[in-house]
Amino acid sequence: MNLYGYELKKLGRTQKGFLILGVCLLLKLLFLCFFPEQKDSRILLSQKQYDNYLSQLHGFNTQEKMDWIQADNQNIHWAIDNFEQMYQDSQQNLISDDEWQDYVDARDSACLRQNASEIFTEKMEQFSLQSWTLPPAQYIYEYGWRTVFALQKVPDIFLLFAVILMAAQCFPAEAAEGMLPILLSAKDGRWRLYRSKLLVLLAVTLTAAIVSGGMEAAVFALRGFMVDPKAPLYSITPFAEFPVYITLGKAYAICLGMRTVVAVLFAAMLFGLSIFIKNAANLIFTAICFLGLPLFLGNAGVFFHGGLLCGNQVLLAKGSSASLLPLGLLTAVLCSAVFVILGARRHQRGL
Amino acid sequence: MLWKLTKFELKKVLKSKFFLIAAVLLLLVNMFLSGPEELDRWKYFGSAREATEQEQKVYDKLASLTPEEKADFEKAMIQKYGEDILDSYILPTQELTQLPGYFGDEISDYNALSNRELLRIINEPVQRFRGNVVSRAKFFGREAVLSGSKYEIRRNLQILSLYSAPIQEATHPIYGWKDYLFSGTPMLMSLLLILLLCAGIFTKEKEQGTWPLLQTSKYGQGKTLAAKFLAGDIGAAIITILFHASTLLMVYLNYGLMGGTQLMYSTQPMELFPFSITVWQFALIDLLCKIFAAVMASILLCVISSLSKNSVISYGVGTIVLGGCVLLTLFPPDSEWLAGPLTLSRTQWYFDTYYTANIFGYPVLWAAVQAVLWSLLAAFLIVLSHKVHNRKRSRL
Repeated sequence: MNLYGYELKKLGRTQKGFLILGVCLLLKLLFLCFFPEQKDSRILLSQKQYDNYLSQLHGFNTQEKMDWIQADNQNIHWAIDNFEQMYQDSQQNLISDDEWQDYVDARDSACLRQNASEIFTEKMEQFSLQSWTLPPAQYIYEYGWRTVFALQKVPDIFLLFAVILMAAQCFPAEAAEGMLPILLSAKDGRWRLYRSKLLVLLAVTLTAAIVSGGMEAAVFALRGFMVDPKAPLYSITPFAEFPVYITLGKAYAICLGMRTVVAVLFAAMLFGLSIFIKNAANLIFTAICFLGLPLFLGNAGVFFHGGLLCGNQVLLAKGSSASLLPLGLLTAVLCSAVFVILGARRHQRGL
Repeated sequence: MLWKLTKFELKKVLKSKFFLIAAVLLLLVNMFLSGPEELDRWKYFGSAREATEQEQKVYDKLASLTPEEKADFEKAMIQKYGEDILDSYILPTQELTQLPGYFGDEISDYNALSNRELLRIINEPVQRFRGNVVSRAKFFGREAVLSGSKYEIRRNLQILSLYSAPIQEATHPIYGWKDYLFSGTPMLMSLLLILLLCAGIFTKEKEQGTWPLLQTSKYGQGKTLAAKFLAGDIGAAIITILFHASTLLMVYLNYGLMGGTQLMYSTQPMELFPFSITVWQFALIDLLCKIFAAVMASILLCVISSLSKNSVISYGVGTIVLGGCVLLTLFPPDSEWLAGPLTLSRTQWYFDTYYTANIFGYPVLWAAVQAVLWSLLAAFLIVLSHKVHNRKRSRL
């Protein structure tokens, strides 16, 4: 077995890296299975009505559909808003019992349809503000996709947590156990050891990221969240102002791909950093800061690993400017490379 | 003695170079992020605060007017600028902006009229939203009477009594306070630092080999443990206050603060806030709730630390637990009972919709019940930690 094999065995079996990874992926699987669908609370009250509206309106937005939604919403408001007046009229016998009953039936029907109508009116208003140069948006069951993209607001904490713990086991664990001086004095203890530890960590991170992303997509697909993947991204409310045409499926694939690449870059950066911060607890805290703080920076967050690990920030950056995302990725690559090179030089120098 | 031990524990934390560097850096990042979002983050200490102070004078003047003086002002404006001046969007023409205006040398007619219009825009939705709630409560109350549901009748009567009370119109818009109250950044930053403070509070002793010494010392029978918990709680409270105070300071320096004495329901999106509490009073209650949430987080992390073998495990499990609690506040579950210990750090959730009146008929009661339940759980965890601590001590 060569050095790579020994390091893989040490990381995976001796330091329980595979166990940590397995537990984290299992936790993620449970989290994904039980993560509540991000439904509008109004649908919970009127699911059947919502389904009726959707079956009528499903597909591309047209002027006829917009007019129909508007007229329907006005009728509903009229029926509900006039209740007090009609009630007083019926009390004073200004209208007959039949008229009052007709009105009550109309009002009951309006109350029943109000929530669903409001939801589609809001959608119609969103669509009416979109640029006419883009292909039209679609009326789809968007809450599945909203759930998918809701989780893209934050990095994949389960995977990254495992990566952080594995990175903290590489050199900080050797230092804590007093093995580092012995390793440094060994024949292959400098550059070759550094390279093999790094490559093993990157290979494990890459595999774990692919498994994690695939698992996420599979669970969401099985839960029925990814319907109409060819609809434009701006069909769903969180991206209603997205200025570029891209399908929902493609946007999600970009997010997952970016997460995989940046997870590997993040592991490389942490590995380089672990040469300088040899205390495992301090390294874990620093890694959490690197992940969490860019989330507050908005578009500027894509210049950091934490921002690039959030699918939503990646998509917003893609929508705002053509060069922002490649530039952000380049910065992350450079940052990781600098940490890896500095770490290598520091390790080469010895204690 | 407990207080002395707690002081030693706090001193120990403050002596850690890494903790101090992390605290200063996080505080600086928090201050950097605390500027109002609509302004350019990189342009600090601009003229926005001075503008707010100038506007405060105009609003003070408008607020001091009696109804007769107000009517005179409106009449004079109609005479000078025409019938539409009070009802339409006003553009800053040369005639409107020239000084002296109706109120003298410092306030132009444009300032007075546009500020009057802004107050109308603030007050109008409050009236409308509360009117809608009252009409709906009447409607549902009537249906409840017909169906004979006592709970529904009581609930709708409570909503009616809460929202039918005459409202006090806003005399000043609320500037700055909103950026402070509705920003989640200081709480998240505080939690990060609390993780660093508490997750290693026991495990560091174990790693340094001082844990057996502490357990066999005179005060090892629970007092050392209590001091560590107390140090974690006091530290968490201080960190929370520090981060929120720095946020408020930055908001004040950037944007200025105005409208602190206005009632909370004048703040969008809190139009349905049911009580007559001013903005600064709510900010104080909000801070107390956040301190409570921070203390809960510190207890959880201390318990994890006391039960962990080493720092990697305690930081790892602590991160997962804290991350889970933060996720629950970002994506609230369907059942409020599963919202986690940090739910009290988002106080506004209990007041931004009249649906909250559904829970025991009173929104505050719900928050209080949650606080009591979490305190009980925290007490149980401390006792559990004490038992484990004592069992290990007897084995030594």
